[in-house]
Amino acid sequence: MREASRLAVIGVGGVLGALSRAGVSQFFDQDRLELGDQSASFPWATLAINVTGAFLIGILAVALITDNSSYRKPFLITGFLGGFTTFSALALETVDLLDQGLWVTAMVYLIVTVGAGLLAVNIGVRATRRVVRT
Amino acid sequence: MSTILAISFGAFIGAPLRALVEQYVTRVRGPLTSLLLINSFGSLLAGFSIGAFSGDLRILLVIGLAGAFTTFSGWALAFTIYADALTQAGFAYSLRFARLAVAVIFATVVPVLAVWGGWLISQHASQGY
Repeated sequence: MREASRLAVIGVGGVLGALSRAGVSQFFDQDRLELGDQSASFPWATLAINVTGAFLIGILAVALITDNSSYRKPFLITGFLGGFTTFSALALETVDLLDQGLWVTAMVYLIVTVGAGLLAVNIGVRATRRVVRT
Repeated sequence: MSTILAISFGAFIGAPLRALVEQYVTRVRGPLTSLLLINSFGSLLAGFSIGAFSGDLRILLVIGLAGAFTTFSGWALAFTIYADALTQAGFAYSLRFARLAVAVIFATVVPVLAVWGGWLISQHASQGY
């Protein structure tokens, strides 16, 4: 029963994360649902979503490190941030750029997302460790 | 409104499903394999759904289900933890960097190929009709 309620909490967090992601994509006018969409531009929305989410997970992973009794970790980390950030959209948009022959743009998109994402987690972790310690 | 419902429904299944797969595969194969599997399978589903479905069903599967099932934040966190583990295991800097680079490239390229594969399957399947 506790496992079922944990999964439900993750589900609710995931829904809120996914809707926030859709909202950001729509704001950037980039809710991409076609492969080979020639008007497709650089996927700024997913880049911003994934890097922001990576920064936040770095903060929360340190801030909630001893928090094992509550539903905060399942809701915020596994649910919300997991649902907010996405790998499938990153992969779809890369294939879309490749499909249009934009090889350099596709490579830049992948490298910038991965590089900035890993950097963002590290900054989040280090900054929070500093605050939590002092 | 139907868009919001479609995304919500997909995500309400996708996020807990990721938690279950992650929990099980992490125990037997470790976190990096677990996330590689999750992101590759979700990307395969997204590529297939884009080629095979339209309208709200496509939104449910691509933005809701595959979008929430796959994760970038958890992926980036797992690599940060992996990098720390390599450092603590006392690997030389160059070896640490090489191991990390190979793992990151692999975990990035495979989901991209999976989208492409999923899309090809959908095109091949639709030729029969």
